[in-house]
Amino acid sequence: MNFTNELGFFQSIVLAGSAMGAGLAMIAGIGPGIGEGYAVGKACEAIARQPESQGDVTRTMFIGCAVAETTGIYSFVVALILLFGNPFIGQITG
Amino acid sequence: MGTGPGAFGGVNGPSIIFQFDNVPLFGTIYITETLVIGWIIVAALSALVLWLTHGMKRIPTKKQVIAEMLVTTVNNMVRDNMGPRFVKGYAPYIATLFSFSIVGSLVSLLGLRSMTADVNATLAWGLICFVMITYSKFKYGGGLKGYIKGFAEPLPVMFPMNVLSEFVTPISMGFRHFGNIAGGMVITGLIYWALANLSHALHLYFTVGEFSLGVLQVGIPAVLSVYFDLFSGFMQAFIFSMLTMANVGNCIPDDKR
Amino acid sequence: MGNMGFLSIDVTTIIGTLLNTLILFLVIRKFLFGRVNAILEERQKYVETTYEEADNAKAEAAALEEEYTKKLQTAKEESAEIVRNATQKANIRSEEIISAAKTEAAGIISKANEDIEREKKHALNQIKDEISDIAIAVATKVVEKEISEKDNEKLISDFIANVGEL
Repeated sequence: MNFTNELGFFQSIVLAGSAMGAGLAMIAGIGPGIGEGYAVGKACEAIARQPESQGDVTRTMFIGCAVAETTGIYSFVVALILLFGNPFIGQITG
Repeated sequence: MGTGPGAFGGVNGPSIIFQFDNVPLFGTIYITETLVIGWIIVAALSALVLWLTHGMKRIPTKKQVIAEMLVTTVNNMVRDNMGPRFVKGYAPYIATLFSFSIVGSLVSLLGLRSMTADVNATLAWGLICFVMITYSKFKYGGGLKGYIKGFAEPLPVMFPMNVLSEFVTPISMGFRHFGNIAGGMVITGLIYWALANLSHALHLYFTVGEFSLGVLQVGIPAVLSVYFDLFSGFMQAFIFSMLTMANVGNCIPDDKR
Repeated sequence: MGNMGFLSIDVTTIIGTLLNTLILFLVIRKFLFGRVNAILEERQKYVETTYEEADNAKAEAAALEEEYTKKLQTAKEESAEIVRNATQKANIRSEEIISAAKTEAAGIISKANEDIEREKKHALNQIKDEISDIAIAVATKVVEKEISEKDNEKLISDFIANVGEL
């Protein structure tokens, strides 16, 4: 990266912003973490109450977890776009 | 983008194997790693299927028992989730999806790039699911009128939201699968990269020509790969199949199952 | 050759993956599911027919057993009947024999009695004759006088009557 000219300066600002944005986007990981933890805890309770239904409960729990994970995956994809497919850096044209 | 091979743990898109320039209507066509690995997987799975089902007898051999078990398991799964009428039509697709997805994820264990770490592959499966959902809604929801009417439920106000969620479903499915596998790949790559740098910093590495291997790179990534490749790959294949069945099954009224 | 972007959407890859999935789907449907489902159905049919045959054989065996039991029962009944008939016949026969013997014995006894009676009468008659002879002789000797023929006869018959009361 060339920091001596004005373009390089703006590029570095965009890159820094993108990196911070990627980090901030991953805050969304908190939501699925809490949600899935809650779901798994409830599933454990259900299995403890009815051990014979373990298979069904586990299957349903995994699907629920997968759906709950969606928001986290979205944030992850946004972070990946910012890191590896940065759409803003191309907009800086001298 | 600006990241060359090796930089940032080698996090890159699939590499381009062939390139056809100036194809009419399409312009440049890239045959990527994803497609080539997909062909290899299709060939390998077809060979496996042919070997498993070769010379079937009424009194089964060991491999025939495996084939029968696979078919029965998928049949039962489809029957439980979609109803007995759809076993014949949908069970082969679910089996295809599951096997393609799981093998596509697990090829990373052989040192290849996971096929499912390419968003295009998973989006293609999401599109198939979308087509199936739309077809089922048309068929069982009463034609075009019923299809459009279905979006205005439970309240007409929900119409735009429902249309949006209809289009988001395949994208969400595709990105979920892609995100899990690619995330695992990125994290494994970053850790591999970090371990290589650490080995270099500690002067624990061998160099053979241009190729260098850090001591810490041996073994430690394998432990992570058990979670990120094996578990995640299996789970995502299972979840993708289950979600396909659930999404299509939800469009079918109970009395038609 | 370079790399695609990490998140670039590439229509060729999507279409290619769709085609790959279609090919794998066709292979799995035709070979894995087609063959396995066919063999499962065949086996189910075979099992069903086998069970049906077994059930039929079982029912047949049960019918045969019942028949045999019935036959055995009839045979037993028949033999019991025969034995009963024989016993009855034998009883009747023995009774007949006994009664015949009794009748014969009774005949013999009565004949013997009759003989005795006849002999007795015969003997009595002889005795009477002898007694009358003796009496006549005695009378002729005792009554040396001439009595009428009438008186004589009366005397004799009285005498005989007296003798008959003996």
